[in-house]
Amino acid sequence: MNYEEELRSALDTFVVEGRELLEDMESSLLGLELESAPSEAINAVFRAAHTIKGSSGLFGLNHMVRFTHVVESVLDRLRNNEISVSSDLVGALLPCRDYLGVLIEGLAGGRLEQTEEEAVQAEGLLAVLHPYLHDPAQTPGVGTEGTGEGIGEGTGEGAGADGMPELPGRRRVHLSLAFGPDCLRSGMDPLAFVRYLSTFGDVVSLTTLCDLLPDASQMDPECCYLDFEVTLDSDEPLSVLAEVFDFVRDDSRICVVGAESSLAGWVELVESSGELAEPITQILFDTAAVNRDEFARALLERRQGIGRDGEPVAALRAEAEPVQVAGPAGQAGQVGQAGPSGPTGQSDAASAVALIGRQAPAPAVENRPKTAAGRPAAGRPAAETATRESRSIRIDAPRLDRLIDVVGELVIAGASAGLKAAHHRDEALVVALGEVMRLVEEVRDSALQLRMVPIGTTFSRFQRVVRDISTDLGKEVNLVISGGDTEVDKALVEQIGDPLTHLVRNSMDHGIESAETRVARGKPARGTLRLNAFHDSGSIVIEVSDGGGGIDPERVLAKAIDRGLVDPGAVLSDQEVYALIFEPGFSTAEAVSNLSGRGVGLDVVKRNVTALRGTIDIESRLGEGCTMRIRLPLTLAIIDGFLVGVGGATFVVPLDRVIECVELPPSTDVRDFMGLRGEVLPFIRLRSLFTIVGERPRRENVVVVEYAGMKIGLVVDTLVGEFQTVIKPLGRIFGHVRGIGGSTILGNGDVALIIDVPMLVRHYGDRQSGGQLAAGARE
Amino acid sequence: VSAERTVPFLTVVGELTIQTAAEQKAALMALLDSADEVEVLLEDVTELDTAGLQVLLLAKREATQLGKTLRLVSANRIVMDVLNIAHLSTDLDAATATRPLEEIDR
Repeated sequence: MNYEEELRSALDTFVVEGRELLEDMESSLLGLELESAPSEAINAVFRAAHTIKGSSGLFGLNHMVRFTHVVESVLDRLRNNEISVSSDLVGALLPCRDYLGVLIEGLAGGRLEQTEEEAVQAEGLLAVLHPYLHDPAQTPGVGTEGTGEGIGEGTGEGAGADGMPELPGRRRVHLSLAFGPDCLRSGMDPLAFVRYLSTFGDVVSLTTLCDLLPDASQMDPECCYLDFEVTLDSDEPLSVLAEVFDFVRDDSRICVVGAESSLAGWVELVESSGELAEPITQILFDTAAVNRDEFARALLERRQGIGRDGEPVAALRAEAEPVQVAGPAGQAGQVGQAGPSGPTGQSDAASAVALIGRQAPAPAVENRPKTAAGRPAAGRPAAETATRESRSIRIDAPRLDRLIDVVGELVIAGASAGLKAAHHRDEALVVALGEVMRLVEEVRDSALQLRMVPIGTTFSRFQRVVRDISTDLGKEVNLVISGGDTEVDKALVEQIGDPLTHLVRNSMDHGIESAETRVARGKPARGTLRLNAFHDSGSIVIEVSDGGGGIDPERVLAKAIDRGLVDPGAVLSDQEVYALIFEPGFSTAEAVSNLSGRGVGLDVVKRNVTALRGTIDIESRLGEGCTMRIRLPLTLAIIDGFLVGVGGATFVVPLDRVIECVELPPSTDVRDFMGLRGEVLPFIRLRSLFTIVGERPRRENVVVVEYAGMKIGLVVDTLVGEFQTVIKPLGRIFGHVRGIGGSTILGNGDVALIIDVPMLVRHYGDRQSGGQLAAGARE
Repeated sequence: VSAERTVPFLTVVGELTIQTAAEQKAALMALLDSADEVEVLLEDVTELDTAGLQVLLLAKREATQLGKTLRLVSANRIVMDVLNIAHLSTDLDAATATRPLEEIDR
């Protein structure tokens, strides 16, 4: 990788992280007003802003650093209770967060500079923030004159040891260099590397550690035992510094950490240094790059989290103890010159928490129990966060998809082997294969689990949506989220966002009444919208409920008749009437509003949900509210199928649609229905539906399937049995084919088509009207 | 070998590197065995690398552990240059600050 590519890949990581941080920031900002003790949310926002500032500094994105610095200063004042949470403040900070989002998306598009327009926008946003800065003396670099001065101040850990402001391009870097034992033999001289390194900047301090040097009798003179700890002020990016050691990287431990790095970075460094942990920790303290209290806490919590107690940190433990007990009073133990610089030199427990958990991934923060944690108590969740951070790995989605694809093939191959073994009637083989299949299924489940993400991240986006829509509509609406930790396939999460947004908008626009109407109806003026999710027998159910007016079936019906969707004389159940609102071109709103009411939306919702193999239904009580319930399969990749044969062809019916299988009564040759325990069951002959040639067998079977409360039978020749299968989409050329949802490859290499049950049920409905006509003609 | 020396000493001649580290180590250990106070003369070192420095560090530490004294004396520019990079004094203790290279050039 050359330098350009390295920068590019580092930037990509920053973009991904930045997006997550901003998402986190948004949800925390929105949570500020709701919480009685918002300190945790404030810290989360601060953390996000601070990390973005730090990272953008690394890339020399000075406009971003400057902007974020002001935001951070405001948040810092908020954190120190110098200003208090207000709707106005949140209203001022949210657009700043959006602006950062624009910049980061700009980065994603390869644009490193801000445009003129953005610069103007930034000015405007900063002007709004200005009143919250109050005391300009404390925040150099405010507004337009900012030159990056004071960056790193106000955080108690960023700037140079002696309080010198760091120039934007120049940063302090710590390098921990433990060269591999064989490097001398292979002709590498560590000192030469160190010498070369010193040409990249000013060496502030360097320590040669010979702690690993064994006793003279055991010491191999050709083996390298030395470790160098270097603190360097350099203009070069970390990646360039790290590149210096490319030749020796393989068997050496080379750590390059920016001074503005999070505490987690330091902890990582120390944790990876094995026996040298203690001396290196001391060096980090001495070079004032790290605050002792905070670091000790982070390290201790991490070790406790991992359960690796008893490592050589006795000294640290002794120091950390009083901090944990004393909480905010932990200033006493403060060390080094980091403290006096910057307005928040005092490192209370809260800022330690902010630093420890800084790079926590968004979901981890999301799910953290939002108890009204006071400052001393806030250590616990932060510890959990730090632990989670160290346990999570970011994986490229394509790699994961590849794994799942292969596991899918494995499931198919296993099923094939199982079929063959059964065919040969080899009992031992069948048993052995059964065990293999059990393990394969376990692997499959674990692999699919990897794709599962909590739906909470999607839900929390709606805090903002609801807030914005409330403002637009002039309605006061609370969003209550539950079941956010319900896990669902990532692909689904990505695709469910739009339909959900439509539903939420619709509920707020049409469902929840205006404040006056609500009061007149004896309801609280502030409406409530609920988002809920839960697992239900192999599906995930997502509910959008509003405590609004509910759906008036008569009005809907009148509208539908007006629109020509229903015959005037038709008698429909309430359920059927509700379903009409998902018809294209249907809208009951008298006034077309900005948000919904244009008749596009709900039909799109229905289409999207159906495309995801899901269903949507409505529960409504007039005057009390309405619940839209989306039911989706947990994953899109693999289904449990029921294998059936018709002539020479094989079909897969999704097992979750199958109710039962019965034999086709002999007397149904000309009919399209049969009796099933006193009920009439209409059926479809797959043979004639797909025009399959060949003789009908003497006995035929009926697979009873259900969709949307409606049962129909599928007449097939043979029932083969259950079959796990990976869905392979049909090629575009088959896009017009109805009744087939995809294909799969059977163990014997044959292709089986997957029956699209909802489509067939609908098809039956169409045929029913046509069928009656035909029957009439016959009679 | 110089007669002015009052304690047993060893003069390192030529390179003190990975090539010679094994024999230098043996020589230094032997020197340490010989007396409680020894000196290592570094004026004729032509090359010093990490392996060489490591052997010196080992000898120094061994001496300290045994309660003996080992002094590095008359370090030439080549040696000082390396010590300087490693931020070590001629006592092989951590040097407090980087001395500019000019200073070494006596």
